Amino acid sequence: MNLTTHKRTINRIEEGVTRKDPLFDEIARYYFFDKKKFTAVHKSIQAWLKKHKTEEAHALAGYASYLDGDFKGSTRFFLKTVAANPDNLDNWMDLAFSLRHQGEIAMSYTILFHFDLAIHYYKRLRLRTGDLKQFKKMLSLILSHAK
Amino acid sequence: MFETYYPKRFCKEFVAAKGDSLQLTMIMAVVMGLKPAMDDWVPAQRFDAYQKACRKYGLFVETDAVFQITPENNIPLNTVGRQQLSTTKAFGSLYKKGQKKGAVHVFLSRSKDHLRQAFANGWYPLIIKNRVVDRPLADTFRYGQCLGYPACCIRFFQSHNNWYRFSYLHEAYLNTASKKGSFLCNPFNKDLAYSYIYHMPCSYRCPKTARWASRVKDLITSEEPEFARSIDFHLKRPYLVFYEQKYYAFDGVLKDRRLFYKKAFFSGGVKDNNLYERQLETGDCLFIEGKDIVILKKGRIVERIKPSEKGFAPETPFIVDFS
Repeated sequence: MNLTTHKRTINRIEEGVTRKDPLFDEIARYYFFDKKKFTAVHKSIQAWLKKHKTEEAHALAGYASYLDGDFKGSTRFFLKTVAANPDNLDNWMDLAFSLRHQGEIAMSYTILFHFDLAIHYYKRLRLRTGDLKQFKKMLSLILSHAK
Repeated sequence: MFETYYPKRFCKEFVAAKGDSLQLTMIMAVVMGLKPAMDDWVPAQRFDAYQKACRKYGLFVETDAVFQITPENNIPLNTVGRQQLSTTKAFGSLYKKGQKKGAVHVFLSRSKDHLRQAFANGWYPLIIKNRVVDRPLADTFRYGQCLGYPACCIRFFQSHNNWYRFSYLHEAYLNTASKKGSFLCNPFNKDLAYSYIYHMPCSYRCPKTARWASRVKDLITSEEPEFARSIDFHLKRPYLVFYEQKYYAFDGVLKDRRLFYKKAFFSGGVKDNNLYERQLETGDCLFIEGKDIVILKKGRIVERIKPSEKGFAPETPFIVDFS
């Protein structure tokens, strides 16, 4: 796996693809079948994150945290990926499941059941932060609106 | 055969609440602390009664999405990810207290921690706003552990659960040394209540599965002995297996690779998968030739079943005997 050449492809809703980034599942297979390889990949991700604060780097760091059971960490990283590219549905789905693991069920459900509204209002409100509180407020409003 | 079972006492409230005895053995196993957690589907209009039953038996329960189970041909062709749906095909919506339609996906456990773990990893692929929404593969891999499945079976599942490449159940058959199954490891009644397990084992003689199933059997024997006898009766027979949720139990005997039978029963649970019952009923003997099922009546060939050879869910039929 060559992280330096990896380029995250945007998965826009209208393109009609369930998921574009295969790396989450690939790294998961390393985690469950080849711990040595996962450890090596994890180290590469950490090194890359030190140099690059990009959507790609944050997504990979999010995957590694998720697999390690650090869901507070993975949520933090996926909030950054959403902030970097709110049009990318993969970012939102990763965030939704990370929030589910954290017990933030209402937030998770809002994204899972109203992903289109989450993207629309996030962009309309011009939210560009990784602030969980602000994000929670926005999702709560979406859920009320959707009801 | 395979009708709803009504316990005399133990956990009878669950059958009354749900209107069926699906997963009754697993509910009993959770109540007695043998199984850390499970998930279930409860008709929404019956959820209050189900919740009451959970309280009576000391179980915590958590609701997830509501499923509107649907036949495949009711799913619009332009649904994103349509081809990825496997055994469960359903539209998903948020659960609202008091709602009457659909089946509520719930998680049960005696332990809040086990419940939380099962819930966190237990999302099922659902169609939401014309798109299949599925969980990360990591959650799928972890979920077996949450449900108390043996480590070897979880590992086997992680390696072989790929509907584009494998028939998982056939791979488990290849992994069964003597090709004769132990009834304790028979998963083919799991969608009809008469099973001591709910997972697909790594082989039909998996020692860990057999040990766990034996404990479940002992528990049920002590509480509802008639139910245990009935489960054994339903399990100890030969099966013809095509794919997941597509298999048949027989009143019959397997001899020299030929299955001589009086009756065939569809035990796959999903009625849409019952494609061959009519053909099987025309015969009294069958054998496998290549991938075809050849059916005979009084020694003469009367039918030939050619299973699906499509790329997704490839079928490799086999006969496994649990008698």
